[in-house]
Amino acid sequence: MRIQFTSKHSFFSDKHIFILLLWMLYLPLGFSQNSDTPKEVTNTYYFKNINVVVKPGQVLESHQLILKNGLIDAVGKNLTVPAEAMVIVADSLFAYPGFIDAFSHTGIPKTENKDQQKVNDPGNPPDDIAGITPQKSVAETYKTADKSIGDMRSVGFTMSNVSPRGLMLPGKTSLLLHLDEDLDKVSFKKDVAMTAQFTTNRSVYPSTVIGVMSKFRDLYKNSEILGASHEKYMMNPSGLQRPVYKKEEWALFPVTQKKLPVFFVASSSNQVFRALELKKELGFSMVLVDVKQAWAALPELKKHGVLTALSLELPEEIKDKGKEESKDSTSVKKQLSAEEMDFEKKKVQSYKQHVGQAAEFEKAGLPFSFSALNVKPQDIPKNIRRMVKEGLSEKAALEALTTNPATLLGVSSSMGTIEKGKVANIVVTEKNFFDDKSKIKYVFVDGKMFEIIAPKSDKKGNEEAGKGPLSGIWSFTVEMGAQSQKGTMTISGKPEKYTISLTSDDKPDESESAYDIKVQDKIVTFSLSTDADGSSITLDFELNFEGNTFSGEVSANEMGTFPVKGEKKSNPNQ
Amino acid sequence: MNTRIIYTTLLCFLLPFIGFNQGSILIKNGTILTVTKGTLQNADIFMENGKITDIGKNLKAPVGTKTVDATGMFVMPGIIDAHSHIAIDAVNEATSPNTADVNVGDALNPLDVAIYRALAGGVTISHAMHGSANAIGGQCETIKHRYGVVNPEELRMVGAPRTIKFALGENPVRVHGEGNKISPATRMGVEQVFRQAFSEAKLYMKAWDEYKKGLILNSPMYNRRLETIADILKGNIIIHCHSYRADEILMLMNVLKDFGIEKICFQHVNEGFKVAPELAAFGASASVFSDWWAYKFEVYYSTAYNAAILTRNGVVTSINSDSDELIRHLYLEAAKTQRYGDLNDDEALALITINPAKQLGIDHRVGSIEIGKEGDIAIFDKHPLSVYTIPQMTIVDGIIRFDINNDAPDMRLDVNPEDKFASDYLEEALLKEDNCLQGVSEWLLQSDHASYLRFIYSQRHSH
Repeated sequence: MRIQFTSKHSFFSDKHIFILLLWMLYLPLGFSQNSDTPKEVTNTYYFKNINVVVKPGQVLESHQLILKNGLIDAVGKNLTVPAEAMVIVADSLFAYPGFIDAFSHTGIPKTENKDQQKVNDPGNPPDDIAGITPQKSVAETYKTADKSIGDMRSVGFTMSNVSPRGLMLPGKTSLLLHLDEDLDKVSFKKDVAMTAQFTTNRSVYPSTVIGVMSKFRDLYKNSEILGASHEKYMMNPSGLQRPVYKKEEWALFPVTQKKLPVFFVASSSNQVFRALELKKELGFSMVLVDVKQAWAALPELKKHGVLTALSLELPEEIKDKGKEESKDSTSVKKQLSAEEMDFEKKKVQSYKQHVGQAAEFEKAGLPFSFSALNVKPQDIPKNIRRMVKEGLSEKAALEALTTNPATLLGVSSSMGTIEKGKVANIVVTEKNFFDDKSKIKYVFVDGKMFEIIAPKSDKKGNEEAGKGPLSGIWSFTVEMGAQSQKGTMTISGKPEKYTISLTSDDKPDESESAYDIKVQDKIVTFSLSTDADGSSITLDFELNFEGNTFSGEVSANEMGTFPVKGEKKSNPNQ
Repeated sequence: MNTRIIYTTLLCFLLPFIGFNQGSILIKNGTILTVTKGTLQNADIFMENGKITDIGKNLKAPVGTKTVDATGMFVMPGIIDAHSHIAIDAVNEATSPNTADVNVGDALNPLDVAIYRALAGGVTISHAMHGSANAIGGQCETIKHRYGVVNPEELRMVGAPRTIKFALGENPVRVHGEGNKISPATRMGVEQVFRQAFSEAKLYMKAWDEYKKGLILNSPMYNRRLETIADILKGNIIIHCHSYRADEILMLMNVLKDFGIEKICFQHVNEGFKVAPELAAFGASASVFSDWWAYKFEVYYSTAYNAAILTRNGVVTSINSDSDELIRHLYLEAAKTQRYGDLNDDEALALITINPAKQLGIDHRVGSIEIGKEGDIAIFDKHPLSVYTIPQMTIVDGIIRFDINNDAPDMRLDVNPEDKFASDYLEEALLKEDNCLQGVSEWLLQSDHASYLRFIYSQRHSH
């Protein structure tokens, strides 16, 4: 706004500008914020007869709710409609506190795939190539109005604890509101936590999980020494050599002082225990995020007071084998072997453990939040309902979406509930959110209204119901210098909801399906995560389809980019 | 509420002392091969809270104690594998010729079904080792095969001495010299990696000593790599060195002499038979294959008599697997020394029990059937050195971890709910045309531009 004054309205005298500025100071906060979105006619909203879920477990049926200037102005009965308010007749609608995602990369697009800088000595790489950049924040990579922000908002999330992308220590997280505005405007709180993960650049040290475990301890100890040296020098520098600042260790110093918690990405059971091991040994405060398999670690987590953000990604629903086989008339019904029967039983048990993890946490009395890392946002409401069906109470699920992350992230005085004076982050749904048929109608972020238009879904809501032009089985070949890797890629579903899975001819037993699938004309991009040597690696594909062939490239973290090509082998159901 | 808190506190306090991983069991009427104290006919072993508390005839156990009838069976100490890579998620941190800071104990994977398969071969303890990509590799972990636990911590053999992997010859030269164009590019360079590391560690120790004594005011920086090397110099870590050629084995012993280091076990050591007296004089031990060689140039000069020659020269010798397949029949590997070298039963069994225990510094706790030792036992239907023998039951710390009569078809602890096929049916599944298997595994990783990564991958579970 100030820029407008100086450039377009330069004819104003200094006095004019002074008066204008003075006038601006008294403007309500909301107005200046809304100035970027001229479509918006008001910043006051009046909900008539809405069911207000004040906080998990407390519903005020058919009440009035007023949002004003980015804040929750009033909740009550028989409130008068402010003159400037937009009135939303909300009979039968529900208002929930805006959901908070405790950990993701929302708003941080994937970095461009570039060939890795040549490292002469892989045992001693520059810290940024090794993935050690704790001094960084989201500022370097945040993209205003990135698609992921709208995607998260459309499923009710008003804020995420956003981590920069990267490897072992990618940087510090910030709380970002899901507005399509620049970083300064969406930032709610900076430097909330230090992200750590077992992901590595596999060609330099640390390249494996054992390298990460060792390097983490080394950095931590040196950060303590560095911090102590500076403190000692400040007290009495006489006779001491001036301690240097080393940006990585310096950035970690608040962690060693327990002033900044570590948010450790620990998806698998083994990763959970490994992160716990570091915490027990070094003593920093820690939250585990993207947790998928921690049911066996519950007593340990409880004992050490470690909180978690459970993954919102769940395994695919296990289909009824019997039904599937009866459909397929051509296949001869085969007797299952003892091993196969055992395997099927184990799969069901494992599935229930994954989906029932949140319920186990609730039973153990350990509060948890949710992490949207690596999950397709459109799957989130469905997945939460699956957790509820597996024993999680609706109240605990709602706590994990609202009050728990608010407390975890230190913002419970301004978020997490619908109470007067808090930030106007609200989710408005048709029907109870946990009802299978519930739909999100509006999401208010910082008092701004976003109307959610539900994507057109095929009637069955079933992925198999639709076929896209790319659906089918494709062969692919990845060229890696003298070597090449062949495999099969299966695409199913409709273009807006493709599911893609890949298999290599060498190792067909490990299953990995794609996420972050984006289709733009004939260009399809997607990612795969896979585990190797105990550390995870992300493969980013970009494929250009031309008739029955495609070409493109795949990049593996910072290891480099390799050409891929392939052709269609068959159409679905053939 | 209060009582609950008290109860919880009490439980937390007592847990480390009770432990869930120790059991009591009575084995009745077996042929007991103690390995160190001869063979007992129709005798019993009583294990209480994980320890062997009595051996003899007609033993009585408290009412309710689990009892195993071993009539007609052979009871031996749990087999110990001094060289393996099972139950760890990472084997090689192949990025530097010296990675003494890393520890495969940080990557323990208790969910690895290979642990169960090893148990099915009577193996109760293995030495989970770093790979041989680096001259100074990572630290290793001695694990107990408590298959069924989920917390990696519970796999550790707490109190076992620290060990570290060293490597000589082709592997470190190929990875770093050929692959990364850095030293060591030759066998001479490998020697210098050791000498340099030990020399630097001495300076490092000196700097910290001076700082602690107040002689210097500025704190030195911390260096985990040098900390570890310093611990080797102090005698706190046993070296397990991948080696083949006799000249290199002598070279390393000379280096160690120069730096006053005594604890070393040579691994593979295919040419050990050439320098057996020298190994014995140094006090070095040897862990060998029974008859595996010629998989690369430096491993051609080999003999199946290696273990017997080393044994007869007074070298503490063991036979190892270095493989998740071979680990299942180490008893047969040991038996080969009776064909090639005429070792007697106790000598042959010692190669897979008390001797590897000595090499890992745990022989006072395991490796033979003696009162006071830990309750690690393997039971066979025939003599374990017979080609007809079949392992029946394996006990770790007094708890049955494998029982051939209670052996579920799928013993995996961690099944991905999205997996399509039971493991053994994969091949069959692949034959079907319409199966669109999922999964991109490590194929990209094996094939980085840098040739060394390719090499490392191919070396992951070999030697």
